[in-house]
Order: sequence, then C-alpha cells, then structure tokens
Amino acid sequence: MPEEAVVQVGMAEFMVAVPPAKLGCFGVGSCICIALYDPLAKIAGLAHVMLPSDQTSADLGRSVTSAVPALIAALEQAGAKKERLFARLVGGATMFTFAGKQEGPAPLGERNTITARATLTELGVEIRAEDCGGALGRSLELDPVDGTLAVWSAFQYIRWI
Amino acid sequence: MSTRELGPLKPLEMDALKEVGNIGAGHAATALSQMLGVTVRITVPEASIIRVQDIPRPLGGPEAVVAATYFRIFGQAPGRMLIFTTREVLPEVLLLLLGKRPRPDMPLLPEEESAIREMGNILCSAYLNALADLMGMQLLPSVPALAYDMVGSVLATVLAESAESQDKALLIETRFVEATRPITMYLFLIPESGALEPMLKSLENISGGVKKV
Repeated sequence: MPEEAVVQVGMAEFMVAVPPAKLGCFGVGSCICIALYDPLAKIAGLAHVMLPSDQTSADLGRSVTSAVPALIAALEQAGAKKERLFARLVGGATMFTFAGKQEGPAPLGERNTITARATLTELGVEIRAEDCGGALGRSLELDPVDGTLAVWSAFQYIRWI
Repeated sequence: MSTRELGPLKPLEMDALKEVGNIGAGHAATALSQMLGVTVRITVPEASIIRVQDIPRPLGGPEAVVAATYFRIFGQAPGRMLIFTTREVLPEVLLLLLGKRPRPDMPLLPEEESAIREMGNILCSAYLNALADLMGMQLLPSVPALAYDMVGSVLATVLAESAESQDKALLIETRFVEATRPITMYLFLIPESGALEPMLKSLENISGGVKKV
C-alpha cells in the first residue's frame, strides 16, 4: 500500500473522506463494513457496524439500521448526492463455528450482512459488490480519488471490488 | 438473573475480579505446564470495563495473526472465554505439543488444529473448575471453536456478540508466559453483565469481604 494517510474507522464508527485521505478498517470479523461512494463528487463514506439493530445504546454507529441513514446524511452534508451513491459490503464473517447442531438465531455476521442489504435497498442505494461471509477476517481500504476498494485477508487474497 | 448496568466498579470489587482471574489462571497454568512439560507462569490479571467497540490491542496491530480458541460459558455466571497465541509463538507451542514444528506460513493441519483445540480445552476447563469451586457454582464450557486469523477480527467478533445485550463489557485478561521459551498466551474472560452480580456475591460470601492478595 502507498503511504497516504489512511484514517481508521473503528468499530461503531462511520466517517466521510475526500482525497487525499483514505478510509480503512483493519481486522474485521462479524462486523459489516458499508462503503458508500459518490463518483462525481469523489466523496467516500465508510461505516464499521457491529450489530443489525440495537436496543442497548443510542450510539448511531453501532447498528446497521441507524448507521446507514446517518452515513448517508453525513455524505450529503459533505456535498455528495444520494442518487449518485452506490454501496459495497465487506465483512459479516462467522469467525467461530461450534461443532454440533446450531440453535437460535443465525450467526451475527450473516444477520449483519442481510440487514445491510435490506437497509440499503430500502433507502434506494444500489449494492454493486460484496465480499462477505465465510470464516475469514478481512481488512479494507477505500480511496475516494476513484472509489477503489481494496480488501484483503490474512492468508487468502487481496482483491479490488 | 439479576442484571446490572456495568458502571464503574468499586476498587474492592475490581480486586475480587482480579482474584478470580488469578485463581482461575493459576490452575490453568498448572494444567498447561503439565501438558507442555515446561513451567508456565501467569501475569497479574487485569480487570477492566470497556465499551464493546474499544477492542483491546494486546499484540500491536489488529492484523496480527493468532490461533484462537473460543468458548461460550454456561451456568450461573455465563460468559465467554477467548484464548490465543500469536503466529510467531505457535511453532514453539506446537513443537511442545506435537514434537514437530509446523511449516511456516501454511494453513494449519488438522492435527495442529486439534492440538490447539485440546490445549484451549484444558486451559478453559482448569480455569472454570477453579472458579466454580471458588464461587460454589456450576460453570460449563461449550466445545471449543477455533480460528487462525487476524486478532482484530477475532476479538471484534467476540465483543460484538456480547454487544447484543450490553454496551460495555467486563474483561479479565491474564497472560501465560514461559521463562525459557518465547511463549506467551493470552486469555480473556468476558462474563455477561448478568453474571457480575452472582460472581461478586459468591465472592463476598466466601471471605466475608475480599481478601487482599
């Protein structure tokens, strides 16, 4: 990776960036990272979300259902247009699988991914690419210059989506 | 089960929880010493209450690769336990466990995975047995789940699971170290917020207060 400044978007945070800054999340597991980009305004937004929805905290960044509208609002405030935004999703892994029959709700990573898809669709934002699921930790970097989104894992790959 | 907002704990309560870590990890270290045939010691446990999103960074960066075993804990003080060692240390551990070094930078072999699971099992069981004896309650671990991946991904996933029911988490951390080899293992016990009350209560009953160690 080149040495430009990468602003780290921590768990339960969401941020907006314009060039030359980049946004990154490192060591993502079951969290879902929602990358939004306006190619004309060259403004990027990234949310690093822990839960599908949240009853225990007023913190907007913790859950998909609250973070996505908040991120869109922040992007619009920075000059992006909602109708030009498109989304990419990264993360939502199931890092640990217990042997035996699984009961109860689906794994958190899966629920995060499903909720992110539904929330974006509901808000009319197109999802252009995903690198989600599996038992795989991921890192990602989003460059607002051209919207490039690099995703890599510890062993398997680096790819651009 | 009584729940309790995880606010700041009194110093005495923090000491009690550290003591829990001390006793649990002490027994786990003995078990680990026997398993590995070396002398494993523990560091002074640290107990802290963090926002679930503020994941600890014990190993430098979030992308450091670790071999981690993860347990759910059932019983009167439910919670989670995560035990891991770094990729750098893993060859030494596997050498002791299996009598041979893994090939560098390759995915783990099934026998290596099962050795790591078994080691996690022994550490977790010894720790929980000691706690159960101390507190007079039953604590049962799940079977271990294994990940060989980025430490950030592993810790974030465990904390995010606990975030479904709480926005702060209690973290009791102990390290296992071996004097003559570069072996360090990390153990995190994360009781659910509802487990805190019964734990503190049972500790009070034992000592009529908390023993200073």
